[in-house]
Amino acid sequence: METSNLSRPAPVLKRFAGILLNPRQTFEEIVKHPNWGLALFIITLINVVCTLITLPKLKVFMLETLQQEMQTNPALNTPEALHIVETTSLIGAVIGALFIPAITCLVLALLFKLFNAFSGDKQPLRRFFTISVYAYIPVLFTLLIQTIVVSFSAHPDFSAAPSSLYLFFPAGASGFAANLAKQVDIFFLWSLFLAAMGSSILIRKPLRSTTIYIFILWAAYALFIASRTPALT
Amino acid sequence: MQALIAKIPGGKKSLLLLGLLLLIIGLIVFNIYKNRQAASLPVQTKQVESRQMGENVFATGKVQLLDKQEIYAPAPRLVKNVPVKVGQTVKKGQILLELESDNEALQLEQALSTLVEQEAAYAKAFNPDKQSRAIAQAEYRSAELAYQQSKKDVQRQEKLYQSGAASQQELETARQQLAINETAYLKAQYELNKIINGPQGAELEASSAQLKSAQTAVKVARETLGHYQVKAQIDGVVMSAQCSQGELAAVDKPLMVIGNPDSLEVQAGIGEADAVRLRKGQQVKIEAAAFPEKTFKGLVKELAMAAQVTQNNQSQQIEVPIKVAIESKNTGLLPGFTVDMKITTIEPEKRLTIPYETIIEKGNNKYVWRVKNGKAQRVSIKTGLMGDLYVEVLQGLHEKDTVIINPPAKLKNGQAVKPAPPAAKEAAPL
Repeated sequence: METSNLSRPAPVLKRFAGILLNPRQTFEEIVKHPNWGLALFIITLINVVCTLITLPKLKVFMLETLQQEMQTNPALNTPEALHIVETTSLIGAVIGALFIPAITCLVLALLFKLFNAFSGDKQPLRRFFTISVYAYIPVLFTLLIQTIVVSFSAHPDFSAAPSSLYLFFPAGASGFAANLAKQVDIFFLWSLFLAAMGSSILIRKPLRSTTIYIFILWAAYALFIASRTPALT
Repeated sequence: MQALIAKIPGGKKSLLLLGLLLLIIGLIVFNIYKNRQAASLPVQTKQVESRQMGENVFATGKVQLLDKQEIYAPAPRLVKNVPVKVGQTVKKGQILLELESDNEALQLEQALSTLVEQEAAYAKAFNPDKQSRAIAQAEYRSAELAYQQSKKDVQRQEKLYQSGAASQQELETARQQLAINETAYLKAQYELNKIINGPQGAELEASSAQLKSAQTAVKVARETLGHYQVKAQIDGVVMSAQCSQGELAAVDKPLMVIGNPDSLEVQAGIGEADAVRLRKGQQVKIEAAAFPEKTFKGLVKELAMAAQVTQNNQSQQIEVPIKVAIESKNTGLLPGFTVDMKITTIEPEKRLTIPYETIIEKGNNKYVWRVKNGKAQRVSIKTGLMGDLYVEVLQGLHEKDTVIINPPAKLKNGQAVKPAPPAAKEAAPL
């Protein structure tokens, strides 16, 4: 059985399921067969499809946000400004859907590669990237929930992930605590944990060390974003 | 626990999947619920309530003396005497002020002399003394005798002439003498008649006219003199005195004002729109800046039958003058004080009311946004009385209905709304 696993990589969908139900064994198999192309394609495809579904609602959200901005900055209240915002937001959403998964995975891979540069067995970036791609699977749940929620809501809020702690704040709440809550997304944290687990398997280091490393970086990032993000976003 | 998990088909994996599924479903449901809540337009609301509500008209006026006498100098004269002081109580007829009036006193004396002469002549004409009467009677008898004698002389001369004993000339002479004596007789008879019965006809009228003229001259002279010796025409108090002994009295301002300080009224002008709602006898609440803690009672006493145009800076204002009697006693108000008046045109009673901020007017129609089952409904209403903060609703709403205050322009019929907490506590009662 093990010989078979060594010779043939598991199907991508099986890996997807394994990541959720039996992550350690799945990552061990992925480390042996670091194929990420199809997985990233599927993830990107799901991301793009979900984005296209929510695009009309996103357009409404952007215009409403712009109208709120107009109250403090009347210079924005021009047809040209509206058109620019409408166009750029839609194009930006599609481009973002195409590249965000890959970029996120690349950043994660680079972070763990950096960690690997100072400790443990030296591994190529490609393997870290493959781990990051599969670790990205839980984030798709956020996307899925977002798509369903947006489809059923007249005035959806795109400013925070539907699975973040911001869910427990009143609508429109702002400030540091609210902004920090927006960063605390359970599926993203799950994804980080999976990436830490995969990386620990890859570089043969204790899970605790990679987990602490990545969560410290995430906490620093979240605090920075929370303190810098304007109230409206 | 391990045993329990082992009994579940699929074991730990199924449990994980189930948990994940439940988590996703829970997040979806919670997000949709939250978005719907957030999508409801936050609005300020107010309940339709019954309130005591009447109708008032507000005006600002000046306090005036109800009974007063203002004294002006008829001509620039020196003040001779001021026998009263400000604040002194005076009685009707009491001398208040004397101005220099020597010429007027002289004119009165002359008029009085003329009157005495005229009265004497008139009295003499109607009540002649005995001597005059005796002389007149004697003259009458003498004239009568002469007249009778002349008649006899003429008769005798006629007989003599017919017998040829007298000439034509002698007869004519006798007839001329008869005519002269007849005239004298008639004159004496008239004079005697006049002495016995008094003057008659035109002579009587002339005598009466002369006497009346003399009396009028005295009256005029007395009144003219009275202008310079001013007396109180009412009982009251000297409210102000703008003169002193030895000063030259000005003619363009009152030298003295007397009146009853307990008998005051307010004079004010009311705009045309409000004036039509005023009636005599309506209750008035009066407030004065001088007594901010007090409210005085009054009654509308007089409404002018015509409006007046008042010029204010560059604008014209049409106002109906009114007078309000101050009923409260010992108010401390002084003539000239400015007061604010609240005239109750409709007595307060319980009425269904909504705030002004809830009403939207389009042409002649008025409507409000009512919140029912979390949704906004546009409701046409008819309004009645207009209060300070609230408007009476005659039709379209019921008590305890919830209406939106300052409804947003983008509000649509059936749109979900949620009451927002009030921005500030309600300020003042109706």
